[in-house]
Amino acid sequence: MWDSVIITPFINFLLWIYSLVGNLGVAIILFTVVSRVLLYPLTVKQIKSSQALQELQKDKKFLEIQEKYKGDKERLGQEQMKFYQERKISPFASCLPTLIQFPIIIGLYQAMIQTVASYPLDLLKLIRHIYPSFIKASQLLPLNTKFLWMDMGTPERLYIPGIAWGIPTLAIIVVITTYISTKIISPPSSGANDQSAMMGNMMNIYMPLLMGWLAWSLASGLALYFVTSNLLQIAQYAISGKVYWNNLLPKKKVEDTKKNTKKTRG
Amino acid sequence: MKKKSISILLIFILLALALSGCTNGKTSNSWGYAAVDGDNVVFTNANSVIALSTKNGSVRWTYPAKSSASRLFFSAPAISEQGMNGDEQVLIGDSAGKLVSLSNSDGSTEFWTFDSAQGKYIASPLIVDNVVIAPNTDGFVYFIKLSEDKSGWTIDSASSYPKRKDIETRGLDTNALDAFWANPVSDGNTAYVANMNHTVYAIDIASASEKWSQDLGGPLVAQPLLSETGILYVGTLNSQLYALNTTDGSIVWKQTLTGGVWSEPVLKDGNLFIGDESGKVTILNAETGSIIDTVDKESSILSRGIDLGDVIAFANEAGDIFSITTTGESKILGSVTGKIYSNLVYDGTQLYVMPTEGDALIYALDTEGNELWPYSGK
Repeated sequence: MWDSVIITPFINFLLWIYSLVGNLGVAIILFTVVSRVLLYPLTVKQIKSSQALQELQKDKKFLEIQEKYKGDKERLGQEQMKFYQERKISPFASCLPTLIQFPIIIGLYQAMIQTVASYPLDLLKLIRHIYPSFIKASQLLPLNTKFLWMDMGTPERLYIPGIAWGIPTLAIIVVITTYISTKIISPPSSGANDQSAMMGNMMNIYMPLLMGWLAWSLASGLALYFVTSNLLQIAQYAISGKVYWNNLLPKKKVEDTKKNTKKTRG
Repeated sequence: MKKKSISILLIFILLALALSGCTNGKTSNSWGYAAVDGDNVVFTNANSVIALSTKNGSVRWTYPAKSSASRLFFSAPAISEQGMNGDEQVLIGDSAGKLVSLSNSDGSTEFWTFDSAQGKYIASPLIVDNVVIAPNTDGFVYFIKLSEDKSGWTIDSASSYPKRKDIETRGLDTNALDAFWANPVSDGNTAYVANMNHTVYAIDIASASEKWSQDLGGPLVAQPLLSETGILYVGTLNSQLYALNTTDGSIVWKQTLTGGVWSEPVLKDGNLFIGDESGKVTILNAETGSIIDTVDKESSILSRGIDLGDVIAFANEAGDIFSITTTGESKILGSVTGKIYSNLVYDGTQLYVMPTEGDALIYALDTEGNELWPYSGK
């Protein structure tokens, strides 16, 4: 079911793009652009929910709750939830579009892996996934997997003369772009005791590291997909509404928050 | 809060390990191969190479001592009688581009290591005199010249076809061809290697230079079959079987089969027997290429056939091992759980079957299909 509804169409679509451009790296970039455009309505919803949450956290009453219960974390959590309910806002609303996207992203990921077909069983599966009336597998194979200095079927390393080991440039770019894409829409913390902000901060650190690890260890085709997807996501955030570039400068953010808190007290 | 952050960190670590592990190899990504020589049957299983006693399936040795997800073994080991102090060497390439020569007596002694390749070894290496011919997915065929002295085996020199700009420098090389997946064959002077780019190359072993090449119009993953009469039989993934003249690579005949070809044909009494992905075994006249008979087993046949004397044994994806007589009569010899993609191996008395997703990693059967022993890895 999953194979026939999600993975097979994705693989055929990716190979169809490949048949037009003749390079798997370029096909992956175009494939990512199209999939990101199709997922754009969900991204917009995510941004709007995130912004609503962010606006709420500047609210005077919200900041008062933070200050009042800063010594009692359990009570603080309860009061925050009560406040969200009063304003009819779910703190998880911004996660929902991401959750909906998740099966699609997993499908894209699996389609990518199978299209690269690094091993015999992968190739057998790939051939069986192809719609014979749509794509002539024997004419298309082998795929041109070389893109810039990379081979899409193997983990990426950039070898520079004089340096014995390869630099995982794509993995580094994946870490940076994932960090930026998650950070610039995160609601700024309204205080040190804001539990959701602290959890968000942890996600902002772990998620780029996870993606970087995957980009370091898996085929570079997938890393290219991550980078393209992250860059498009950042562009979509920038087009759709507010992005908080200041979030990328942690010290400044903390100072701003302190100023806001002082003003509220005053 | 600390507990929460630790929980999140653990979830991420598990997710990373699961995603990288499940997509970067293990048994789900491919199938292993076996080779047999003397008392040992040596086979690959994801991240390990295992040698078993042919008598009872007991473990003789495993390699490496510490397995790793980044070193996967998906090519057939090659066993050579040329060893140190009478000890045979087992050649095995891995997914990290490392080719090692192991002692067949303990599996721990590494006679030599060649790690200049930048791709995976899916093709099995071939030993011709003192030269190891090792096609790689990086688009090069490596010719590793060995020398033996009192201290052991050493690599004398290494070259490649096509020529790598600098065999020690890593990074993409514009001379590279597409990936080599098919096992090479040789007549002693010339190596015949099939590339995924639809082309068969004849390469002079001494100079690593091309003698001829022939485009067959379809991807090539199957090992060619070299006959004593100097004809090279090669099947393609787009269902074609070719007979090539080894002198100049010219096409002697071409025949269309019913499915993609993943392994070489068997030549017996002037006839070729070849299985394909459609589940059919086709019997052809080796001289003319005309089809004599077709036997439908209704499940993909990726493994090569084995000449058992009176019959040819084949195995299919459904896990059946069956025999075909020279007149095309078929009989089921036995069945195993799992899917059979890997080549059957025969040592003159016993058949070895390696199913994928089966109850055992390898089975030893007699020529009647009776199970002698299984090895499950437990």
